[in-house]
Amino acid sequence: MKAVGRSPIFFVGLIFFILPLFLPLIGGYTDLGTEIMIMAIYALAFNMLLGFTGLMSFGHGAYFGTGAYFLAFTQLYLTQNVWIGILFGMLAGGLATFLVGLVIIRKSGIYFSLLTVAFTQVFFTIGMRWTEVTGGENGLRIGSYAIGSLDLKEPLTLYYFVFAFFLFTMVVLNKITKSPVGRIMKANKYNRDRTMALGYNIYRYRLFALTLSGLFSGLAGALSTIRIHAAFAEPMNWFASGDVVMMTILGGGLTNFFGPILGAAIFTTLQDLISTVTIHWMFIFGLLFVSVILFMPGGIMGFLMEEDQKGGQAMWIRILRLVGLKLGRQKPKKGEIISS
Amino acid sequence: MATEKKNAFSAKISRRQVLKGALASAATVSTIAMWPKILRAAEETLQIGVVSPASGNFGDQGASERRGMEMAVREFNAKGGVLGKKVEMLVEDDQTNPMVAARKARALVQRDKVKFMIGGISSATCVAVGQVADLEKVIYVITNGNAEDLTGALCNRYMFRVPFDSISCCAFMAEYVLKEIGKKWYMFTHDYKGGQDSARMVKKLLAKNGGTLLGETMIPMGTSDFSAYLLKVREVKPEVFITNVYGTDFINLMKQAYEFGISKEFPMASPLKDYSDAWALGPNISKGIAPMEWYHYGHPGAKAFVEAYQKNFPAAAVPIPENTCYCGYVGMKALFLAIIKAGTATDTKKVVSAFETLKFLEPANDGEVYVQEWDHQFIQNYYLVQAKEEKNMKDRTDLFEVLKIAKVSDYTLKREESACKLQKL
Repeated sequence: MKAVGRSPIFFVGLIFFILPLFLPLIGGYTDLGTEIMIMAIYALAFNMLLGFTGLMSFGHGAYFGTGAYFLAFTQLYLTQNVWIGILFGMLAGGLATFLVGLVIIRKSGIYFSLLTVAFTQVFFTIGMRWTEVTGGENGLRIGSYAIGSLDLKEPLTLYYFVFAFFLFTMVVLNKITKSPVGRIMKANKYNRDRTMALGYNIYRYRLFALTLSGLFSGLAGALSTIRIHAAFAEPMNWFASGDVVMMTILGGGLTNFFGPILGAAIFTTLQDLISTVTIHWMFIFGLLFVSVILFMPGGIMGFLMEEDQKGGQAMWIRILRLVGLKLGRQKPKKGEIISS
Repeated sequence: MATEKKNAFSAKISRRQVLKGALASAATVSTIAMWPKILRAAEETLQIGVVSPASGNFGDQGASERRGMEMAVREFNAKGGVLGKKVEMLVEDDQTNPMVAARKARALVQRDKVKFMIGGISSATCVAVGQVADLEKVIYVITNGNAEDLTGALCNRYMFRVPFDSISCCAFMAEYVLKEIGKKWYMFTHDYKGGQDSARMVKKLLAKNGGTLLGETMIPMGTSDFSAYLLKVREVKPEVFITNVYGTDFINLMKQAYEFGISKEFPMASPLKDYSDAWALGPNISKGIAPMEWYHYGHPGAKAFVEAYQKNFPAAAVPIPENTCYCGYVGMKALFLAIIKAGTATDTKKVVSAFETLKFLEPANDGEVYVQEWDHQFIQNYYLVQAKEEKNMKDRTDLFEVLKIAKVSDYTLKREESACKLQKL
């Protein structure tokens, strides 16, 4: 069992903890970091379904959007308490996913994906047209939250508030992937029939994975509403849902738990920085995505974690070596005896 | 031992090359990352954030309003700038999408630290940017969003609106048409918030002034075939056919109305029209009465403004300034005058106060422009125009005849009727 200090979650957490110091230096700003973390939560949640259970959903925007709207409803009609708002947003996302799941979970492959598209478009249409409830095209605006004397409108305060949820998401989801339940989810990905033959009700586990993914997508949506002070129908459109698919695969979610985080960071940063220069930022992102699919099928994290065919070091260690940092196992010289 | 992976990666390109490529890309990405900082080095410039559509439904109108803003910027920069600083526009594309508009507005405020924002064609984007302005306490001048809410229920202390609101335009048109053309109306309503709001207004005005709505057809967004709908109009035989439809759908509607002979048979009117629609359609197909914020042949004083436009933009798609262009110009100009009056480009509260009591003569509009301090609506002249027959046109840009000129305050809500409650500074 690795000591906590060496766990990857610790390093990712550390990077994001000190990120606000470095963001302005590369032309970023604190709010961008907050947005990255929210997208990372969304992508990690999405990957519970894609990377671990092997189900491709093009309709996760529905659950993100549901979480976004339910936080807004909670603030507008129920209470100014941000924790309750987030809880309701999360539960709404989970419930929506569960109900959709009851209908679609027995389907596989392309039929599953098509149904997810259909459902998200239903959610999107409701969001855009039910103006009295959702604000329609204009969206639903909310006021600021405060926790005691802390004003969540302050960029840095909001950053660390979201950071807490980001850590929470990483820890919980990571634990689940390493648990027995997680193993069965993975088994569904690799060989559905064999898992069923072993006696597992695969559909129950799929529904669990779907609902889990919906709960945390709802969390991301709720945090998004807090950040931008409004809930919109746009993220529920199926091409907006496609964004999270792309960032997850780009980052390496198919082979690595942390891949989605990297993908979310790259996507969000490019979107912010390049769209200022040209409206065709998607073209640049598209080129990047195609290059990664062709040359790094395991995504960027997959590439970085790839080990040398001769049983040597992982790629990221070798990259760091190039710039002078000596890490990891040293290659033994010819004839040298290593005492382990 | 792991089997040799057979893919393009291992066969032709060595890892070393890929690493080099990766490092090169990283260098490129970080250069791109630095780019906005390089492009927008603040120095001693006054930066105005422009949130305006460059793509999507209203891309053309966005380009037009930005030309107007650019004219104001060049005019003031030629005289030394505003409070001694050269003005710079930081342009962001809102893609006619409110979520994107909010994102761009937030980036302008938090990344580029602007204190002033301007722009907006789609009212939904104006609402989104207005919320950011209110939260961040920066000033936002709406140049082309007409929804009544913007100076009504959704007004805020930091937001100012240049074009007329949907109430004053409907009322101006309705009064004239009911009196001069006919009282029995049939209306096509574009089925989105803008169309629905105007429809509500029209029905209220009809009820108040003894008109009747013989019927209404809801037109879904993105309709390209109006044949079934147009046949209904011929069936009903109204005295006036109201086209409460906008954007590309409106263009399609007018073309088909012409083909069917409907536009010849029935007098037409709209609650709102942009010059660019008529320009796209051409004189015979463009028909009907509508209010417009400004028209280049509206009065002789506009000539100087038209000449300045042609000197600044000799290769522009439209050879004369349109209503959206004028609004961009006068909005930016008013903002500069307010900043100068307040004596500060950093204390937005002072600029708000100065803006609320702003009054100046605008030669391009033959009259005074001022701001209503209780709802931040710009009051100035506006025009009721009718599409001209080709034989009456002075030149290819003379698409309209001015029927009547009024001041926005003649038709907009009175203070007691307004839903706007401005917060304290």
